[in-house]
Amino acid sequence: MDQDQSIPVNHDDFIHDIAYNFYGSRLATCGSDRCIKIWDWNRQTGLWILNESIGAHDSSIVRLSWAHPEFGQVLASCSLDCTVRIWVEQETNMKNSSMRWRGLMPLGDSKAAVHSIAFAPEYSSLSIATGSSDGKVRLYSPTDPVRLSNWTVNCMIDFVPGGATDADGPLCVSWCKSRFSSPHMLVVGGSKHKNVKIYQLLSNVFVELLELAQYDSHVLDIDWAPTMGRSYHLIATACADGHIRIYKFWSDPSLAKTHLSDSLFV
Amino acid sequence: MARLGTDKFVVEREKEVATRLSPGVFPTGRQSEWSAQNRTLTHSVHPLTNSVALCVAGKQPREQLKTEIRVYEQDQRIYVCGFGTTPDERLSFINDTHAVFSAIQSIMDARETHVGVDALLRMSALYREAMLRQVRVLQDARDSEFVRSESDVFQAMHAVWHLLEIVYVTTNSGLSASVVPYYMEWLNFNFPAPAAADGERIIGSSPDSNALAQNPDVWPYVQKLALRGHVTTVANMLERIAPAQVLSAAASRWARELAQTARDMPLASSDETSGSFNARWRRWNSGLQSMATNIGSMLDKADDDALSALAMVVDVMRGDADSISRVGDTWQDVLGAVLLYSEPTAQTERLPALAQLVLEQFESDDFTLVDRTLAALVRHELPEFLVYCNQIDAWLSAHVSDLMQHIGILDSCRRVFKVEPREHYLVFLGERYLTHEGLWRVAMDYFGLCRTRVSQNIMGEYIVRMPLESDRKAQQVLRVCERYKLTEAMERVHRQLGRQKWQRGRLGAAIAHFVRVNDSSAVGQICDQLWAEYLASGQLTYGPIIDSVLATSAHDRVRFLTVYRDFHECYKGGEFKRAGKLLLSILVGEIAPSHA
Repeated sequence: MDQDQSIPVNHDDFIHDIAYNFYGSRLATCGSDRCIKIWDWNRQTGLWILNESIGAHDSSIVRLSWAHPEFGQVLASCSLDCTVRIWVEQETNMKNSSMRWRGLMPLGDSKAAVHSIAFAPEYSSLSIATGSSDGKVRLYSPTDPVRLSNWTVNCMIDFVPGGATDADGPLCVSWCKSRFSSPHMLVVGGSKHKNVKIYQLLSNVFVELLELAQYDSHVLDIDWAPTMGRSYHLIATACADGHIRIYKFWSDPSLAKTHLSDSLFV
Repeated sequence: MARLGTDKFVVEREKEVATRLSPGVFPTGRQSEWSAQNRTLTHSVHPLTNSVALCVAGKQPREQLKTEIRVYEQDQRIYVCGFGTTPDERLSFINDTHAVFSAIQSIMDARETHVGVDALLRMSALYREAMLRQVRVLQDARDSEFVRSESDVFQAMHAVWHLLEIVYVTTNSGLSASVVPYYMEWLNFNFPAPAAADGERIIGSSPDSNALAQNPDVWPYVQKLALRGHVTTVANMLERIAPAQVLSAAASRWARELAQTARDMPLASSDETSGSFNARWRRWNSGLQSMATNIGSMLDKADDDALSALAMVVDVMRGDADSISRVGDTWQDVLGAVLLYSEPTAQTERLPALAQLVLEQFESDDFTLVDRTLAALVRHELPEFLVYCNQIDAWLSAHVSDLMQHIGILDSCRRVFKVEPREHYLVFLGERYLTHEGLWRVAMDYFGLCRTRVSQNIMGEYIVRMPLESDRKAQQVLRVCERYKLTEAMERVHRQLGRQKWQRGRLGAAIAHFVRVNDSSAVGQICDQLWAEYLASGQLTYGPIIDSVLATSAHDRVRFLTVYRDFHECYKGGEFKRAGKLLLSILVGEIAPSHA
């Protein structure tokens, strides 16, 4: 790989996440300084320009997620302050004016740090899954889809029955991006039981489909690959044992099975 | 030399790419120490291009750290790193060859069967012209490592493509069954030898035939000329050397004889039967055999350096394998001379066997990538050939696999590749082109003209990620969707455009996009917004907005706003009866929203 650019982002503390938007024309960063910074790509100059710096949470911000542009410029952040916040760009306001991004009411149902958030694929209506260290995955969506206000919990996964705490480790979530094969499916991993399960959202209820794996160490991250025409799905997990594992998953009931496709020690 | 196993090809992308960040994120050799200070790397992959945004990240948030750890300037940078990017210098070549590629697919569509050989030859020649043009452009460019590397790549691609054309297209056309003249043309064009400058230098430094005969470089030069089939030049040189007084009488005499024999070398013509040509060739060759015997018996009696060197030229021209191997520097040289002087009417099918004999003498770990590629081609080892093409350049493997598909020889690769090779390489090339902003249309055409379910899916995923920075760009994206029947992608783009225009206050345009995808919910919400604005201001200003979508929308809300606007205008204009009818139609038709 060739290094094309180096951008000084100047958070005042550790950075924890970095995320391109849907088009790759924006970058958002967040960190222990409790700030989110949003950068815009300038085609003419080839430089990344600061759009806004947002003092977003009361504790370190650990993850960011961009919504599909079909819903506008919407960014979500989650934090050790146990909240998730949704930020909506106000295009009529100037950049770097601290009014460019309007923060909606914090989503504060979790009793522990929220480590993972993921907006649902755009073929669903606008909604976001949040994975909290209290052992629950919550699915939020706005009751007012025009103003994107009043986000409430539609349904929940009790991933750790009996609950969990920050000490049990983070929960990670990732959506299946395919709208035809396995729509509305979500993979969740982590916490006290160190397992990974696949759920499907049916009539506003998450139904557990299968347990993909169980490990001896914490699940730190998880991702469901875009299908790109394959007849099977690929799900990757990253564990504290230093392994990245890639699973093949067939959702067709006649083929329903999984197997570990590859394992990389890094 | 390690050869690729042909048991099962797994065509893989690079599994691991490494980059060196500058400025570095930790001092050299102190990665463990750096990592122990709560540091790791995090990243985000660009959705379109082959690039990654990397930065140093804290493993744990500040609140969870037990010790105080400082953060430094190098922890506060995002590094944008790319691989497999497309340089600007290739744009002209890419656009030219894209046109040829598209034309081939159109011809294929029109004919519905394998493309005619004539058409393929023409297209193949256009590809080669484009490669040669690029070589010339690079030669005129300022020297740099990049320019030298690119020049090597394009010369290699031309050599490979040219030979592929000869082996599988030209000699299959029925125009000429013999591969030999085409091979020699390929050899002398792509690997010219001996250098013309050498000949000029030798003649320039030799004012007369004595100096020429005594020039230490002259005989190796003449031998190389003979090896490459430049028989006229051989004759010219021998006629210059022959009068030299420093030569023995025998050497002088045989130099003249060989010059004449070289001029008499039979050339095939289209109006001669192969039997007649072979008869002439045998007579000519037997003349050389006699010459070799006579010279040999003279050399038995006395040493004569010039006569020995002349004997070598005779031995090459009579097709003696050992002599050819001694004079030849490369396997391509030797194969050419073997074909030219031993089997002048050889057909393509003879190439693998002859090539094998030659390659056994030359093949080693020192073989370059180009050597391996060409060797695989002449041995008809097509799966290996295709993999090597990809190692030379992604453009080459994509277009070679496409050509192989059209001439019906890709099946041998399908039996050993784990993936569909043409699709794989065309998609790979398309993704490379996406790394350059100006090539997205070209990339889409490569995906689209691949014409497989997978490429169609991939195209659908990529097209919706094209930033819609302007109406013009949006229209281009929609045209691509239309052309390749990407119905679902088109819907998604319309929704994105609708949302974009809605946010920017272009409500009529927004409604038009949502109408295209039958999103009655979004249309209804926008109409509600217009109605709310009217109620708040008391001014009915939405008329032009509704007029712009009236023809395309049968949505109740749109109809309501339209009829209500007409009612207002009739009332203002004093047409009370008509206004009343319009109001009645709203009530009867139940098209008013409940909150209206």
